[in-house]
Amino acid sequence: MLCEPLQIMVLVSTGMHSLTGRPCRASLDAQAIELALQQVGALIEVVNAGNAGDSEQSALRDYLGMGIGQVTVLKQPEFSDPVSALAQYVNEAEPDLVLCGEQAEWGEASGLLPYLLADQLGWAIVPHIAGLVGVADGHIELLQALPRGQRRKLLVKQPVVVTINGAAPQARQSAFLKARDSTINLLEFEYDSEHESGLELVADSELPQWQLQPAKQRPKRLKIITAKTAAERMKAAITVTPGQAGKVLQDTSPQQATEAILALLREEGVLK
Amino acid sequence: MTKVFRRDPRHERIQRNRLHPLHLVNQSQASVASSGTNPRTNANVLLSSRLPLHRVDNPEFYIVVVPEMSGGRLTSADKDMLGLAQQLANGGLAHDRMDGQKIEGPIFEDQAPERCGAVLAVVFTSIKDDRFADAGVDRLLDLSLFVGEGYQPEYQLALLLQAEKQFAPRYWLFGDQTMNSADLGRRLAARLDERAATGVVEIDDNWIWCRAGQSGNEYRRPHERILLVAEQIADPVSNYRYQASPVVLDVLVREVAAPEMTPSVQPKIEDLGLVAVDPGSVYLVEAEFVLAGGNGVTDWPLFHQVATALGATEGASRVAVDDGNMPRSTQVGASGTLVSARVYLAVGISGAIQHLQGMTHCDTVIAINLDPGCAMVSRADLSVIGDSSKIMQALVDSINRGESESRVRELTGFDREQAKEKWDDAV
Repeated sequence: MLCEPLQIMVLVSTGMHSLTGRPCRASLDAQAIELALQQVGALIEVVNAGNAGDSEQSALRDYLGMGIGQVTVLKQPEFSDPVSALAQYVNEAEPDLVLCGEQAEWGEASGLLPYLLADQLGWAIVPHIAGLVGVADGHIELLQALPRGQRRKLLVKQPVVVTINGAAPQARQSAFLKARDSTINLLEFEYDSEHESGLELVADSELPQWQLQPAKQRPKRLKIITAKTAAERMKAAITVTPGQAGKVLQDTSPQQATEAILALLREEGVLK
Repeated sequence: MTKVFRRDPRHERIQRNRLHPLHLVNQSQASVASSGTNPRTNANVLLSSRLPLHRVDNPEFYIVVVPEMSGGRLTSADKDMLGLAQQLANGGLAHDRMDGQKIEGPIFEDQAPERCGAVLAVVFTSIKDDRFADAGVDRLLDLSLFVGEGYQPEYQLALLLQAEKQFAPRYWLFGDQTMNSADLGRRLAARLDERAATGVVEIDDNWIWCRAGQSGNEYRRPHERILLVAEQIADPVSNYRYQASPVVLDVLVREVAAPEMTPSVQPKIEDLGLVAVDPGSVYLVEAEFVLAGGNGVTDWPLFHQVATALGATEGASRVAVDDGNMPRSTQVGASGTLVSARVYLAVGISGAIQHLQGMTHCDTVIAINLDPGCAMVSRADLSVIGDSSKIMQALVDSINRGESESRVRELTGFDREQAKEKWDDAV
């Protein structure tokens, strides 16, 4: 092939199993790896920023089991900000495309990291991506997932940070042998900025001060009744709203019934 | 019009009698009727004109809301967000977490007017429904003329940064879990280098509570200036009418005067437009239009034909799935999928309670059924009593006929265009 292979970097985080709460692969990040693996002839590098403890390593093994060969870990102490370290690493690696999930599964889970990364690097950021259509002379064509199952095509200048929506292709299973035999590269960095090649670490000063507590159940509002007087409340209780009693067409010909149905569908705007 | 004041004894009597059926209607017309002009009969106008106007003439600060605006209308989450913005602007959050009771809302008449802030809504899509005054918007910044349709987040961000400079808002409110608003909020936070609070589920005078991902925990943290709030964060406003007076960005006014003075944004993202999606491939959960079949459907190939013709996603009742007529993934109901379709067309489904549970979020329901007394017919907005096969056949026929007609019309329209071009060339 004449053209250079597409260089894809996938940023992964540690997920949380929805049932047991144990560390595992994050589903959106796994979908990002799946999307990268589906690109024929692309060079893939998987990067994680974390403290690389035992639990995190077991989660990383889940990613390795997808057949990516190795994963690079930028080792950081707890409560440190991964953005600057990642930005520096990505800037040196110079990939064409950075993929990551939209939101983490635990922790602050603000979904801000890709935006901060793109802002620091001066790259474009495109959220809610469900697929890659193609690459052409420094531009990349992406498929963005919209509500109601709709899709939008976007042409974006490389390099670009892309966040993956749940509508992207489902991640493949993790294979035990591949997970066991693959390698985890640890890159360690320290807080002092003496050696210039090392990545600078920034501590997150705010997060430790926040109070983490079990989520409170909040009542869900079902219906707003703004009646102030007893008469209004009585009226609201006894009147039949149009939604409760629909129109019934009985003893009509199929053609008339069809016309009525199609008219309603056109009125709702679902029929083109 | 004469200035003579005329008494209407009947009207006065109705006004005194709270239980009279016309009491509310006449009360709102009281001022109109006494001035001698014709009373308007539109119910919405009556409702809004009855509410007192909340005026903010010289706002001390601004709360900027970026609503999601689906289809040119405020969504219910947008209205909740505007309700929160009004609480923030008028110095008093309605919720008190400590005793779980609601504190009475702020009373605007007693407050000094300079304590009030104004709620500014920034709208990028063209507005179809003009309900901003009722939803709690004091100032409206309509940028739809400057931003075209489609995905242009970079240009929208540049405009938001100008709004930040001009209004210096105390809070920025965006909707989390939305398409455009959340994207813009995160972009703005990254550009301003401020830490945004995302997934905000509750807010009081000192703290905000934010979801911690899917972990079932939440963080209690101090207030941030940029908030991405979850749905149902506050109640929408209901007691007042608001000004919704339009404002403009100074930069855009200057740009119109001297376009070369302001640097233009070089967009890196280009929108190539929507892609045609096969309705069969859309997930049943997020489908907009569902055609569901049940025990009353006898001709299943015809059913699939109708789904293709209408462009609907297929669903089924439990019986149809158990009989092997439809795959299990299409089952709607308590043990299947809970659909959120806007329009639900049920063919031959009597409406077991488990099935109705699966379609509680559907707005418009159309039923085709033989039994006029079944539960689905009483739920439906439009019911057709008759044989499903005949009606489905008629549906397919009339759609195909309509398509061929429109094709003919397109062709003739094209000819007319060509003729017009020729005429223009000749002239």
